[in-house]
Amino acid sequence: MRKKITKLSDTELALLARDGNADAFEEIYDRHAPGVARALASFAGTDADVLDDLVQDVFFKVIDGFASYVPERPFPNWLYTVALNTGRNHVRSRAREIPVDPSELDSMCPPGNVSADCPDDIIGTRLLRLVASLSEELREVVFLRIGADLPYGEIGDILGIPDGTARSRMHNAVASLRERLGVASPESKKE
Amino acid sequence: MNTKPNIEELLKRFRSDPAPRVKRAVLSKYAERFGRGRTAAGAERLWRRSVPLYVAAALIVVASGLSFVGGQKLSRREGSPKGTSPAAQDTLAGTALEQQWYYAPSDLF
Repeated sequence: MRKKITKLSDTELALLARDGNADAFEEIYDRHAPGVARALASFAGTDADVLDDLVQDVFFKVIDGFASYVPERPFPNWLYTVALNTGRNHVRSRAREIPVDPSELDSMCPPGNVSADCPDDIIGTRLLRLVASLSEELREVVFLRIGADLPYGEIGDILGIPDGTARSRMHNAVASLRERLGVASPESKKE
Repeated sequence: MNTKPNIEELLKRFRSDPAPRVKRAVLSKYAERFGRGRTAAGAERLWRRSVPLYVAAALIVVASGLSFVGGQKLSRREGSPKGTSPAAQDTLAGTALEQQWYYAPSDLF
């Protein structure tokens, strides 16, 4: 039974889970919990305990709101809208406590010295901390892009902006992160 | 030197799998909210698969019952001795119920 479940699409799983199929819900959790955690890190930093609490909060809301899910909307879009609202609430409730302090990682990978000696996952962790310091509109695009790897059209649908704007915001976010990380952009290297 | 890291890819590489306690809490909340768990769902599937068998068994019981009742009614027609039809009565009338037996010597020795 579990083997069959793993072959179903997200939306098919969501419909089964909405009707009380516990296996389908578990598969949804296994598929999406890591992505939701990664996306939420762009709002809340990389503290594992904080992320665990937020992920739990997101899935609790999904359970409570299953009745309002309609299959016309792809399930990941619905899930990440719930996650996005959870991230926004977290930022509002802890507006002055956003962890923007990558210094504890500096001894391992000093800023501006991104080399082959610095593991990619460490750079990624620092980047996520820097994402938390971006403006809200840039951060939300990053959230949806890195969490669910959604196409820009769907990111635009969720945020209520044209897909070109979503793409442009992601470009600006990446440029800002590149600058803060102390890494030259590919364009500037060509000059 | 890695001077051109793909920022988006680096961000996607961050992994923070939620702790097992989160999964337990979420699944527990799901079971509580929907009022049934995996066992109940399995029992429901078994019940659904067994329905044709139950229907067939019920039909056999009903058909047997009707046949038995019909036979009883037929045998209880007014004026008929219990358990014997009138035609059988006519055939038996005047028939001696005595039977005679004999043994051949070869059967005895």
